[in-house]
Amino acid sequence: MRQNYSSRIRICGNSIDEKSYTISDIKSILKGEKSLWKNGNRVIIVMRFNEDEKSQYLAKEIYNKSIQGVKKFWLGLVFSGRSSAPLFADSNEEALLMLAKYEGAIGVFVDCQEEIPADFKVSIIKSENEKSIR
Amino acid sequence: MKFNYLFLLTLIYSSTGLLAQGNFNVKGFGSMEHNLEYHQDVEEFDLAWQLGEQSLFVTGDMGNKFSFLGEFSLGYRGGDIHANLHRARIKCNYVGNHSLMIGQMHTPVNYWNDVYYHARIFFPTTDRPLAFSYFIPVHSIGIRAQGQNLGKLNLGYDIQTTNSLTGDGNNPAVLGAFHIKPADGMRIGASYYYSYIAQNNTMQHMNHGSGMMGSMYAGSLDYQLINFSFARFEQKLEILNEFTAALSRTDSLGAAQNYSNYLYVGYNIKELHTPYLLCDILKSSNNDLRNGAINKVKFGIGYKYQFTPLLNMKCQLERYTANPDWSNPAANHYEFTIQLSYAIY
Repeated sequence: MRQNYSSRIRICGNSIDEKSYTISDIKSILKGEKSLWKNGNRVIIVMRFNEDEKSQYLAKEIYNKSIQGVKKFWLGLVFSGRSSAPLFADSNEEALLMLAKYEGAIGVFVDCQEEIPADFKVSIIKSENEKSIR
Repeated sequence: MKFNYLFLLTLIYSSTGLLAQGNFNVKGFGSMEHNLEYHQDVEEFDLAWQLGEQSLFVTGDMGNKFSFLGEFSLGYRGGDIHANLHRARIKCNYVGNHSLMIGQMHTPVNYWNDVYYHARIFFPTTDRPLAFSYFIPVHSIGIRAQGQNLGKLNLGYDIQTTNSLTGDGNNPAVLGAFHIKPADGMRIGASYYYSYIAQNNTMQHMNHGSGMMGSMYAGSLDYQLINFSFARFEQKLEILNEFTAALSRTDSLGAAQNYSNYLYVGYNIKELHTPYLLCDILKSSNNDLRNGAINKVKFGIGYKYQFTPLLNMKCQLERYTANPDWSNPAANHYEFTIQLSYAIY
């Protein structure tokens, strides 16, 4: 069953393994729980993230945290050496440029109006036991 | 004033002007605090400003699979500035979430030592559990196989062989640890550590104050640690429990069983305010020749305020008690600490 994860959220990837993922897979990847793609590329997370409402929406949908909570979450992971920090961008344009620059990059966008290259598009599959988007 | 040559080199090479190319990052963290101690035996207050460790944290990628992580600190102790190398390791992420690491690392015996390192900004209380002063091998130099976030339970494992607790490479220490993360913010883990200590008086470099009997007992001993950790950091409730059983065996006095348990419970109010309680108990047997007989209890209440994720303040009131026949009567005291901890990111 293929459907939008959320009408506001889009996922893109540059040279990552698959063209579609389940919601729980995406959340797991965006929480730094995957370090290497099967194709050997390092997982690089790109996020358009600052202090605005879109970031607040992303923080709640993906991490179930506040903006400050997400920052604290990544700070802990980075200083413990268990994950590399995401690349934070101030705008969707900047995030798309970062995505294009790094093979293995996976990006998450909120209300993306920009044209996304077909190669970068990743669709979300809702698995049967994922009844709700939390 | 003593400076570590390696630390100076790191400072020089970490300047952005010299290393502007490549994925090389320099970050830092540190703390400063003010202590007030009241000792019941002398009925006097001790006041002191203290500068905590100021750490430099460097990471660099060496291609897709290899990376470097280093952590160095400067601390002020006894009138001198001391430089310490805490972590310097190369990691090879050879497949999926499985890695091999070589170098000096934090020994992943429990949640605290595996997650917080020296960054007080992440500590739930102002200082480490009592076990870190007597039982826990904080650092170790060697090789480690690590897996993380495996399967539905997010299983993690660490298997390592390193120099012994006293830094002796001829008698390597071994460790096996695993944990699961069944829910967001929850981690349950256990570990086993074994080290043969050929000479107890050998100056050890991995621990923060252990080996107190080193001047009294210079013989050999077998040292085993069994740890259980439970951590649950939810949006509201925070719980951390660290249990340690430290077993030492000598030819002269046989097996000694020593225990400690640290419990922290905090409650987040609007994310920024966290009042908390702590209880820390440590007991070392009479026949333990590593640390000697210790019976120490610490109760505390505290409050944490988070200015930003990069800066927080903790206020903590503690009461320490020890058994009356212990050699240090000053151990019975109250302590009040205001601590400011920060990360530079």
